[in-house]
Amino acid sequence: MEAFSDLMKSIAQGKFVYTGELEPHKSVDISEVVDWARTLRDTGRIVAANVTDNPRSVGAISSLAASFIIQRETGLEMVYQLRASDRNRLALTSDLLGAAALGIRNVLCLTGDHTSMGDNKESMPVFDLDSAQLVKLTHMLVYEGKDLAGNEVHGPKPRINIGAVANPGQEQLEMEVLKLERKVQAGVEFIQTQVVFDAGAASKFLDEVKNFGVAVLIGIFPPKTYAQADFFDKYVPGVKVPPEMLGTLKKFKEIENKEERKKKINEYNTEYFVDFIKEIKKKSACKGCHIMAVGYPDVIKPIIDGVK
Amino acid sequence: MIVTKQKKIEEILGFLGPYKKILVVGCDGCTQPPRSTREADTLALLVEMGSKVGGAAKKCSATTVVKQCDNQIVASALNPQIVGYDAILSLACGIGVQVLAEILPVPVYPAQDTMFMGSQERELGTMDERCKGCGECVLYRTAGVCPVTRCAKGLMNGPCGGCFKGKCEVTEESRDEKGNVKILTHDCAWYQIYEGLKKMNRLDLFRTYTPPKSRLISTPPRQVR
Amino acid sequence: MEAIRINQDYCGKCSFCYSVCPFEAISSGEEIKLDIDKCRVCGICYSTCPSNAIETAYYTTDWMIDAVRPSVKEGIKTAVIACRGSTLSKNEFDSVAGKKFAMLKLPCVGRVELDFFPRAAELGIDRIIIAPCEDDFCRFEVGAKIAAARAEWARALLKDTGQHQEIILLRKAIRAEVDRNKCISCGTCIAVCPYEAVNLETPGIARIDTQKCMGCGSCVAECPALAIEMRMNRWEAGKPTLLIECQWCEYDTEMPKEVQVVELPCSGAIDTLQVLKSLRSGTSRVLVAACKQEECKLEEGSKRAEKRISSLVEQLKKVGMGDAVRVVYTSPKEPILRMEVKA
Repeated sequence: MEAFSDLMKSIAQGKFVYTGELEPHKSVDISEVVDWARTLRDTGRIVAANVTDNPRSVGAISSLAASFIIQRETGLEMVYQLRASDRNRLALTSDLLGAAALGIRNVLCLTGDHTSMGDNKESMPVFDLDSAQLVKLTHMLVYEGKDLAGNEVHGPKPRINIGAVANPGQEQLEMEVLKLERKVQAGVEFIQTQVVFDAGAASKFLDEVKNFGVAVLIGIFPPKTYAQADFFDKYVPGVKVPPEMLGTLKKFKEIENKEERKKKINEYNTEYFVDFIKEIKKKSACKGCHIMAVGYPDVIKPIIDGVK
Repeated sequence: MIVTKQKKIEEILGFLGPYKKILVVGCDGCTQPPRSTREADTLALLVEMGSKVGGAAKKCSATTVVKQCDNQIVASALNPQIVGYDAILSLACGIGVQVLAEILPVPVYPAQDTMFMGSQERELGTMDERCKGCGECVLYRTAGVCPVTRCAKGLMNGPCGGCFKGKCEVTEESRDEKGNVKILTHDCAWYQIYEGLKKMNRLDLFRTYTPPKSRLISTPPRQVR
Repeated sequence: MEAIRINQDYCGKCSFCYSVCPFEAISSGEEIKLDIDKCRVCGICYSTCPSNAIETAYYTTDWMIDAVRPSVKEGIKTAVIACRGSTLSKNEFDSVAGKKFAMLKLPCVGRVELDFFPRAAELGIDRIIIAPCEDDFCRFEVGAKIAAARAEWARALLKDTGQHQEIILLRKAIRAEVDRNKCISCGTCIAVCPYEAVNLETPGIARIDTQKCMGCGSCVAECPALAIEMRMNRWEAGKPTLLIECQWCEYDTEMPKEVQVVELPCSGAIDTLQVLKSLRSGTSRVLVAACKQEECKLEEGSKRAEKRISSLVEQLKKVGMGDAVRVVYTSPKEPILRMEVKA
């Protein structure tokens, strides 16, 4: 494994890293997203940020184009998310080579949501490859200079670090761990997980995967409002919010003064997630956190600083 | 069996518009439900009755063949019977319709929309797709559960992140009143595969990375010698 | 006239009716009460009552005697009393009864009183062939058994009183049969049969177990290859109005002459292809009479009929004949059918 990106270099140096999330939409003007990327960069704590690829199968600007633009405009390193729902292995290969040529140094290999769930429900669901096979393709390009059929890349090999996803909240944990084992066989280098609220659940997962030699970044989502937390708990499958957090946030709703309420929530989130991160940091597999909260800059720096 | 759904009578009357003498041909073969004598007779009557409503008046007769997917059987059974008819309405699956179209000198029209190869669950009265004829059967390593027909994404290294409590998020059945909570009722095929392999003590088959399918094997036109 | 009732003035409170009622519709106690909701009008209580305290609108002994009287006047001395469930037509008795006989088809021979035999003998009937269903085949559970026992009793009674009357007991049943040459081994009959009476024996041809077959006709109505037959009335289109009725949903004996009447052992046997054929050959109105679903004598036959007919009506709507078929759910407790037919 070679560390090409700042993300992987930091991890290799033993640093605890933080990544953020960017979600461009169906547009040609992504200045809002660029602004958020700047905000993340300016915290001084975020080493890289993810750019989503047709999230929930809702069509958006190409994540390749967006990654390039944002990285160029802000200097913040990108994690280019690439999903298998929409492209066959030829197109995926083209895009990976393109990403490397454009200076993108991290790719997150995803299977991707089914096309029937999005805003163009009748599209053909491609899934020529799944996430593990996409990891394998990327690994072959980067380390062997070959595509899946064994054809050689002309000239220098692409230099990209390879990521994938896992879900510590999967009820059938053994199955999730075996899935990860396949991706490890295929050559994955770092993992960013689905959002976890419970440090115990995250720790359990980290224990199970400690011998795989993969860097795991645990996904967190500090909720801005009680409504957000409630939504996650009720409606996002596989994610559980601790009743204590729900209770506290609900109580804060009673605070009349908006500024006061915001302050209380920020304090609570900061305290909660500082404790959370300190807890998971104890596990050897845990190399960082992936902060999913979009549009909630106020807590990022306090949390990260609080952990130190 | 091959599962078919009968086309709406309006559609059938639509494309049979110009014809006056129609032979409705059933098939005793493997469609489910079988589209044999009863269905052929019924459809012949309905087409005649429907033609009085609009379009040229029609005279329909019905017959059936033991199977429509065999060119010899079709030729010997039907060539003698088609004299005098100006069109054929076939109740077979898409296979039979094409064989008839190839062999018989009269235009052939389909009465069925052929859906898939599947099995029947008698208690629930449902028919589910079980085989896509992908040509690379992996049932030996998936505890008898086909991921090509039962996983929405056809994954070989599943499940994906959409597996919740053993159910698949892609095929949600309904939502709650607010329209938020998805009530998932379809099993995640890979969850079933995991459980099956665990029961068989063959998780070694689950933890092994599976390379991508060769799409060449399923690219049409396909023939076996 | 009510379908059936207990006349408390004559009731001797012996409770015989209570003990024979197969549907627990009679309660004993201070007063013997009949619960019409549970009653299936089988008439077994009527025929069992030793005090003639039960009155019924259908097939009383008086009615039966009046019905055979004209034949006796013509010199006929043989009567066949057959159950609707076991018998289709007169021809079935030619070999036993000879060429000339009077025939009465009743819904369950269990309703025939012992009294009928000597009264018929008195009238001049010296031979009675009584044809209830086989024991397990009876739609009213005990009717056939009681009828058979009563026939034996009548035989003994008449012998003892020195009257000449030959009583012949014939147990019959109308069951489905598979035409082996037509069967396409699809297994539909196996799925449809509510009594698990069918299996596919090697080499894959359907076989009906006669011990289990209850003659409901569902397999006949649904066999995709038209390979199963039951000696039911197959009919040619005759008149503009066709009444297809379950033979247990009404006991009225007379329908207007302009109506073609087809009787089925159960509405579940209704063959929609036959209905279509009639509509194609001159019939313009079809009325289907079925038992109410909760009173179906044969395992959801009425429910199946409803499904099949709504499917047919959907198709008929598309060919401009959506109003041609109508269904009415009735029972002998509500003799409305004749009115419905007129409508």
